[in-house]
Amino acid sequence: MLEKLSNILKKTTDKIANAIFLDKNLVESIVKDLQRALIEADVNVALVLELTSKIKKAAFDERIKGVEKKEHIIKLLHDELIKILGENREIHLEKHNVFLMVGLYGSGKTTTISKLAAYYAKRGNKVCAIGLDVHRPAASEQLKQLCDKLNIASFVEPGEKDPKKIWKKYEDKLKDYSLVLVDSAGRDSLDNELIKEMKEIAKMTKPTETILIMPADIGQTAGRRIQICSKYHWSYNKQNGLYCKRRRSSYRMCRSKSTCPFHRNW
Amino acid sequence: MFEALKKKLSSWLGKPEKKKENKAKNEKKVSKKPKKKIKKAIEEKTEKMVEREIEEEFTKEQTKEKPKEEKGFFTKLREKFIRTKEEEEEEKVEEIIKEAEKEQEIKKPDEEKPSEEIEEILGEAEEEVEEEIEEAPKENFFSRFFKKLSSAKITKENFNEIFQELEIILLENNVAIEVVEKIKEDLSKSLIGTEIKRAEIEQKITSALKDSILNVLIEPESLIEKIKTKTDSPFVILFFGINGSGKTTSIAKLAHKLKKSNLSVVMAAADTFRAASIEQLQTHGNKLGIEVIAKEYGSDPAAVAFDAIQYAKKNHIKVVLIDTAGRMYTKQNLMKEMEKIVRISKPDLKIFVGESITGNDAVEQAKTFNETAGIDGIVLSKADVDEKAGTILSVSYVTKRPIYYLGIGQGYDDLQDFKKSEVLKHLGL
Repeated sequence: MLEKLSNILKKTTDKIANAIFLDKNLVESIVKDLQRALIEADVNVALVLELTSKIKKAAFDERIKGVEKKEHIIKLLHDELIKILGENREIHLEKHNVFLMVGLYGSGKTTTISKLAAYYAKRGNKVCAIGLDVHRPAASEQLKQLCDKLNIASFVEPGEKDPKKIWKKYEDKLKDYSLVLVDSAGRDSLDNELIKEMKEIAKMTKPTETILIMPADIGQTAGRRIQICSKYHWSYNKQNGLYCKRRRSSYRMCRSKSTCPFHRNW
Repeated sequence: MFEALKKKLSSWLGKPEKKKENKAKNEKKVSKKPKKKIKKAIEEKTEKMVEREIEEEFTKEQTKEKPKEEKGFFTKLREKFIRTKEEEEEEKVEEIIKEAEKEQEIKKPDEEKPSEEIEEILGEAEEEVEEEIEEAPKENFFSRFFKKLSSAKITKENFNEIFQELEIILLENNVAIEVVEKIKEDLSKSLIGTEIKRAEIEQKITSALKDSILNVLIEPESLIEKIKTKTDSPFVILFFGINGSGKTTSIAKLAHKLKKSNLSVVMAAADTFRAASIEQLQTHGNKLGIEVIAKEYGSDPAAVAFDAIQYAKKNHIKVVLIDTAGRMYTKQNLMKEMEKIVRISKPDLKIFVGESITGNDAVEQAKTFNETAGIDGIVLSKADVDEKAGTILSVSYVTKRPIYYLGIGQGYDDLQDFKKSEVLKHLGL
């Protein structure tokens, strides 16, 4: 994971450290390598330009000289990347938790539910899953099959087209569990009907965490997706988390980088 | 579709922004009202838009003619802020400003009046500038480039400056770096060293960009015609791609399309791994009235494919669509499994299903699947939620294969034939 990008970052820092003199050409070539590597890794273009302009500025800053300057630049690069990635945030479980999964079609919501269920069940929590995806063919069967494999309780209603009815039917049983994972249908902000349904589901389930699932290879569109999603979900939730799926595709770290600046408060 | 890239390209080229996007949204909200009213509203809107376009063209022509006429001092001052500048005007204005500053420094009561007048002039000019800045499109770098000349020869430096902005626009819109470099190469060949007139620059660059994009894209043949020409045995189409890309949904849509063209279809549920994948395809089969061949979960996908082809041969079915499990191209054992499926099923067409919203990874996905299994054609799903369109270029260029369809929704009819001209239209070129 992330090997290619880390190799390029290492080469860049080595170049800086081994340079005898940080002249304009060397800095330009370093900056260009960095830009190319970051853009190939799907980092938001505006972010990349911001980062590299800061580095250029530091490189040409007359106040710092010699070895200190090189160290300063390497540290700057390191700090900026960390700033972009954002803080580490643990999910703290309360007495009764409801995690609502949202995201685009095929992003991995149902699969993530099974992984989270396994994770929390192993740590001694009483977990269940409820399938409110009423649009995708066989979505409820998929959730049930995954949960059965893990011996996790699942509440599904194949054939039922109204998510509210499903929730109402199992609402009382859900209270017995410390963690309820809610699966929803994939949707995009352009579909008004689905967005309306999403708002109703959010209102009804009152999640303690709303988790946006996105493919890690999504590209430059990531930031926009987050903006749209938080626009629709912010008002209903105390906290929000962001989960990155499918990270194992070689060297993409796009999403985490390009989306974080929009939500530094998390 | 592709609105973001279209908007960026047209502002780079200095075209007036058309407010079609907002109108599309308004039309959706209006959908509850009776249809006649909607039709009228749409007709009125299109008429207004046409009128607006005509007006905009008029004003454009008028402003272009202005440089030729002799102007008064104040009009020159105004134009200095709005359109392309000439050196003389710049100098005049600079002189005025310097005088005004000098007079302010001295602060003599006798000289207050002239400085006030100058300040008033500048103030008025600024107000007018503000108004016109709101109305007129941003001064683009083409006008800056032609600051002093009516025609120019594009040198390498000029070209790099021009291309820098375009490069950023393309990268921001998911176009892979390799493709951006190819477009740069094409544009440099057609533009560097050539003499271009100021009036023609936008048109020249637009057409050079259009040609470059047309070179990158490949026009697909008609899949349905291709299928009809094969008469001796079933036409086998194998679908593969990474997890969640839309293979099963795309297969269902294509099956629906083929059935509408009077071709018999059978679907093979060769995804024997993912939970409920067989049920998912069977649900589609039931809704469409199409047979689905399946085995148990965990069985060999190549065997399912083989069985489906045998079934089609026995029952004289024209087309076999084989669904496979989503797989990461980085997992070698899964890619090896794909090689086996290809070897056993011997498909007439190997289709890679990718997502239109993917970034640079689309190139890696396409390359690896091409090397391992070989790609004959591409289907890009989720194109309706894609504002950027870059993946279309990237994937076409890297595989040198045609994109047959774009998936534009969840319904069975949401499979659009890919046409180069349509894509260019969506990009506003």
